[in-house]
Amino acid sequence: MIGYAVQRIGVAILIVLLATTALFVMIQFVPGDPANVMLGPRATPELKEALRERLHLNDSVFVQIYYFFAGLLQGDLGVDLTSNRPVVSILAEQAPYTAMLVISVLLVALMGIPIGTYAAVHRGGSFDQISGVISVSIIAVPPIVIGLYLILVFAIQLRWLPAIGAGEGFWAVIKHLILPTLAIGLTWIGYVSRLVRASVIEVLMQNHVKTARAFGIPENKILRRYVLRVALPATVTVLGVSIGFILSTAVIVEILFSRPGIGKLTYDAVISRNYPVVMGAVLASTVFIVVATTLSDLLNVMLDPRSQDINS
Amino acid sequence: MTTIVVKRPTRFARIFQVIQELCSSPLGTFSFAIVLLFFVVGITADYITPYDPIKIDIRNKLSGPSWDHWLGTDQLGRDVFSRLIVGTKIALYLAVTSVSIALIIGIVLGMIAAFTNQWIDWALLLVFDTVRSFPGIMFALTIIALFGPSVNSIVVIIIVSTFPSYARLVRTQVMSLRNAEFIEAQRAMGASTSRILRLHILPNVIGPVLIVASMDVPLVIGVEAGLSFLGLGVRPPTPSWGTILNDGFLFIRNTSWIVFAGGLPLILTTVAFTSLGESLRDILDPKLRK
Repeated sequence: MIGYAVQRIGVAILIVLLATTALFVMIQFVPGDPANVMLGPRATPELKEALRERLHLNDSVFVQIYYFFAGLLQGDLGVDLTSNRPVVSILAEQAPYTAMLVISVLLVALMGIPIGTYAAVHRGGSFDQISGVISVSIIAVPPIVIGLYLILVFAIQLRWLPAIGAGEGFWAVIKHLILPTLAIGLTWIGYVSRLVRASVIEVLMQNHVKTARAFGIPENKILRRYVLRVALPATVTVLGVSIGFILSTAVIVEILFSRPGIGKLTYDAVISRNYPVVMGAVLASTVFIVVATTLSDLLNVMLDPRSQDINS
Repeated sequence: MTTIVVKRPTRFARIFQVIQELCSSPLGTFSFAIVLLFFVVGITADYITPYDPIKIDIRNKLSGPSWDHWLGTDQLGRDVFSRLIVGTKIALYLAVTSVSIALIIGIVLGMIAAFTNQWIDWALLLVFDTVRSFPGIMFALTIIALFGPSVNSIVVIIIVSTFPSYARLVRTQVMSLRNAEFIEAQRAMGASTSRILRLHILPNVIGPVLIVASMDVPLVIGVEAGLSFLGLGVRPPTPSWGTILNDGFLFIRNTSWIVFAGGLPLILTTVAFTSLGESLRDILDPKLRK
């Protein structure tokens, strides 16, 4: 177990290093000089040269990567080219909005567990069939379309919920969270319910459940003690692995709902070629995703040691 | 000794049989019909539009559905129905090119990973996992900053973000077949590795991968819609499903009709491809049926 954990963490660190290097190389090929972006078209060549020197833009990619990681170890990701503020503090300001959205999506996704369990227990019944068709349909539809329809119905026609911004004050924040969360989360409710349904059906057919039933243990107790205990860890792992997708869609949904957050930050930074901000935001989200995937992998192995062979 | 001759059904007969089985359920019929319609409309798009999709008729702007304009007109008076039909062409082009290129890359790399030495396998796995852990949208934004917004940028984005999962799937499948008896037999008879891979492994691997690929078409359509909606994909005035949604969103307070109509083809095709993939998997791979 410890050996496996060390191996997974090693791979995680390697992935972050590789991803950052790849991003650095890609940014090298982007046309346009960051010095121009920062100083404007009327800057003197001397000023630009001094800035390039300060940002190490004249050195090779590898030297730049070295400086980037050296800075990172001291908690320094460089400065925003337009506002001159440290990237770390900008990220710290925007991250809570995105984190809030991702967490509320995860919480909403858990609603799939009772739906999936009920469908599995009453397999083939009308609830099973209806929820099956709805979840398969909703899994497929892109979140941007779900988001647009939600805005259309709940913000434009019914005027129940706001469609723009993040709001201030507890209730306003909650109200502003509902539509973006549903835009991403409806898909995940469907996904989780399908997943839970499949794994509950699988467990229900296994011998230990049959034995428990033969002993006359009530059906409810079997479900709680034997079935869900095996079926739920799998769900948690899948959600952990899927955090990358959730984060990706959160970016688009943030822009759709004009919500502040890492997504909107990156989008604006890419449009204005604000490289330090792009680097910082991509690094932060990659680290976040890698940590989430590794943790859920380890959690899964801890709960179910058999899966170690499949993962390695 | 008697010889038993087992006549294998021809490939054509097999395809016909699968379609027949597919159409035995209402959901299967529905999804097969929509997917077929998607292909037909996508190929013939330029010939079947009732109006010129980029012809501006400003006096007739933002009109609701009528006998003349079935799905109304947009802010420049262009016929939304015609624009959606032509948008199908781009969606089809994206789906076919990007998914097939990603498939080829995935199959080749997956086979290499499974059939060469441990180190190459390990290195390739690291590459797959790195690409997969890169947040998709961040990668997309970077590619667009590099190449500029265009249909081909979308193709590159989809290829890079989907090939690792095909490669991983192929790798797992090949590994489970690698030591199967019929492969051992081939090897004992002196068949070369490339012959084994081409003639014996590939046909066994292609089915599951094709099913996953068909279920990735919604992803392709979603990426196009998302990026074009942000103004980072297909450029106006070319109509695509994403740009139509964007037009509709800009005028959502004047008329909700464009967003509503623009979302319909997206919903229909994505649902149809997903349930087609599920039905095909049930038919072709009964082991997985739950």
